[in-house]
Amino acid sequence: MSSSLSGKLPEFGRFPERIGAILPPVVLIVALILLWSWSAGTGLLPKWLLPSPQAVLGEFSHHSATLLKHARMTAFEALGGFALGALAGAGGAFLLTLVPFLRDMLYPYALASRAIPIIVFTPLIVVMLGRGLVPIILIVAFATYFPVFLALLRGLNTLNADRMELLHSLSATPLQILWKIRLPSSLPMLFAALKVSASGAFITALVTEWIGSNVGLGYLVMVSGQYFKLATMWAAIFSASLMTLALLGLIVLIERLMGRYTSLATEV
Amino acid sequence: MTPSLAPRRVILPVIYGIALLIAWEALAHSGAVSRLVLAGPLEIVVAGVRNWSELGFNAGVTLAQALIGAAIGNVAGLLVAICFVHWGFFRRAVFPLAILCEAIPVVAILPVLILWLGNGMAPKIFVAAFLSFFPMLVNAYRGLSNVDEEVRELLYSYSATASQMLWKVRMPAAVPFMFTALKLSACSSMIASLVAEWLASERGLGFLVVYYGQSYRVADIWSAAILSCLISLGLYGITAACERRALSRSSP
Amino acid sequence: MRGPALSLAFEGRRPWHWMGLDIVMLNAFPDEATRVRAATLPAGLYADGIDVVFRRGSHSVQALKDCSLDIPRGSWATLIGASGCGKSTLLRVFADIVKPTAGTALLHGVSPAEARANRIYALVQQGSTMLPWRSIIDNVALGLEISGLPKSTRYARAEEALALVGLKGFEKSLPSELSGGMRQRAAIARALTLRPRFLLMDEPFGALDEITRDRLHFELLRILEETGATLLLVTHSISEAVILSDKVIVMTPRPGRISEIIEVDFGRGRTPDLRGDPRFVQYEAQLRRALHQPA
Ligand SMILES: Nc1ncnc2c1ncn2[C@@H]1O[C@H](COP(=O)(O)OP(=O)(O)OP(=O)(O)O)[C@@H](O)[C@H]1O
Ligand SMILES: [Mg+2]
Repeated sequence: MSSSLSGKLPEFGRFPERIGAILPPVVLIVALILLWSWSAGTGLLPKWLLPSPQAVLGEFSHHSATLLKHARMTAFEALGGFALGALAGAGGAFLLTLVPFLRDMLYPYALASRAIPIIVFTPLIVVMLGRGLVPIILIVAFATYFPVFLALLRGLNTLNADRMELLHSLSATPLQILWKIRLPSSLPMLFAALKVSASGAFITALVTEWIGSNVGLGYLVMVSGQYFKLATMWAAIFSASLMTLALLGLIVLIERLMGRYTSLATEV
Repeated sequence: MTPSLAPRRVILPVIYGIALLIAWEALAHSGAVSRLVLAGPLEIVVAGVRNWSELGFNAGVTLAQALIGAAIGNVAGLLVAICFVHWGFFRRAVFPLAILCEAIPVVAILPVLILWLGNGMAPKIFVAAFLSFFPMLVNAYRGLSNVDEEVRELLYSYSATASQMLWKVRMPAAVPFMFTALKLSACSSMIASLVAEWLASERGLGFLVVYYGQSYRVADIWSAAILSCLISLGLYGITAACERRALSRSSP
Repeated sequence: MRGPALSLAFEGRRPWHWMGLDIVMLNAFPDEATRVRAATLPAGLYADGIDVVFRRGSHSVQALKDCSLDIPRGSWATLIGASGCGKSTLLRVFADIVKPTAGTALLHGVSPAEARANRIYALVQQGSTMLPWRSIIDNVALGLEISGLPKSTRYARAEEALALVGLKGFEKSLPSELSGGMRQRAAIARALTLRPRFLLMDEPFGALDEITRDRLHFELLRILEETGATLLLVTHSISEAVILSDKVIVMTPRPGRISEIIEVDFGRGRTPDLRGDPRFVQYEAQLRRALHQPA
């Protein structure tokens, strides 16, 4: 443990340090892919378990049109539902923060809602609305709504006493308090929730496609699994992961850009 | 949140809940919504009671998968987090990879898992474990490394061993963070277990919902779906209660 | 620490313009009824029989008991006493943050709530609160922003105030990049931008080094003299209390009450040479005795 003290020092982004941060995971990933390729090539890894990386890559180039069609659908469902749910969640949190009557009435339900597995209602919603885009976007929106709503509600209502006193002594209006203190200090929680919801949105979209749709990557994974078209299946899985990563990356980027709100707000 | 509950904070939600139930019942009877889609709350309760043995058995299966998966995932996550804290090189190599893996919609690879593990409980447990693993890993690592610099220097000056550091300082500091992960996993392991039963399964609440759905037994679907919500709420509630007890002792 | 910034701040303008003395004199109460009432009542800080009881569930703490004081307009008072004796609480009664359980508090003849609504006082909190996501200049301009002043005015005033407390050049820094003492100075600057008629300060110089503290003491006194503002300041330092006061209000704990009020007769135009004055030593000794007296 002698390194525990000096371990604090090398946090500066000096060149050797950056290499130290980037190199190990890259080496590990390359090694894993080589191992995968090698064991598939020698037949150590049976084809039905995992097709070779070359086969999966080939799938991307040969069937790009099919993959693109399904991916577009999934992206549309996930992003549409995510945007809808996040907006509704933010709106709900503001409403409950500003209207004490609603807050008192709905707060226990809001708290309980985080534990509700909305996705189990998919079969019902499919019965109600039929298969297709609308029920899936709706379910994704619900799955996004609750984390965002709860995080923002909590953030907006976790008050720093000193800051509130300061604004009180300046005779600020409730709206000024909301904009100048409550909203900025709730941003770290909001971004944490958005990150959880981003992967949640894709998972939900993929899974609801199993019973709610006949296009989309989730559907493709299921069907190609049933017909043992494993390369297609893995290509679909990787496409879905890439899209999730892209959305996550976007959110992290925005979070970084708003660094002075998101990284410092909990300190000082 | 606040210890003193104003009466209106109890009465208003109760009134709201009752009003909602009555409106729901009325809506179900009004014929505005097809009987094929909406069942009234009374009907759902009756269906649930009539079906209790079937529901109970399948709920048990789903719950068992969720709990076993959550246990495996959380323990593994904690162990890996402890390794991360002690072996910086291991962490630097694996942590970015772990974060990448978190983006894999693992529930969606269920068809693969069924190919690998058959269609018994194993793939469901695997998915539940996978979904619990990453939140625990990330949160526990954050908690374990969330040691105040001065405390760390103090223990350093006592020349404490790594394991003393772990048990006396890091673990207690990580407890609140671990509960955050446990609460997440209480819900996600249940969701994983339920959804995993949609594919190639003959048991479990998730299977029941789909099965009833195919035969348009609306009240039965509702009763199974609501039962799964109640179980999920129960798991979450128990975890939250444990959290409150554990944390009330450490901080006033 | 005394840099060119300070002389710049006042260059080319009359001091009362800087603190908005005209505003203080003519337009402290935009609301007519309050203005009329205020004209007939004690113009300084006034408290009569203030009790404050904090309730926490079943048990309660008496933080203040029967506190009365009268600080005439334009004069300076400090609150001193052991930790936990209720100094901050008394200050916060005047700031309309703590509502007294019994008794009356008036600022220029109006209740703390009206004083707050009319923005005639400025508060410096014990923790010198900053909003961590705002740059220093935005933190200092916050009060003016809340009052709805146009951007150019509030930045101009905030820059002047920052220069005055020796923070020129740190406008764009974030609070986390500043030391505790620098944050305290920024909090003082924020209060000064408001050109208040009453300055309520809770240990504003606590984290400062001797030298900076000395400089700011006399800077503060000069501003107070130029503007005729009334000061109520909490401190733990005996010499600070003597330098900054016409009245030192000594408090004792459990329950918090005012045990003694010591008049300091140094008048106006105080200078750092004051410390060499034999009366300064006498006041210090008198104050020390008062503080050591059992409750
Ligand atoms: N919000 C509150 N709730 C309950 N008790 C309080 C509250 N604020 C202050 N007290 C109590 O009132 C008493 C006086 O507190 P106060 O903050 O005024 O002390 P102080 O003289 O400013 O002390 P210090 O010099 O340490 O700042 C203390 O016993 C404190 O515990
Ligand atoms: Mg105090």
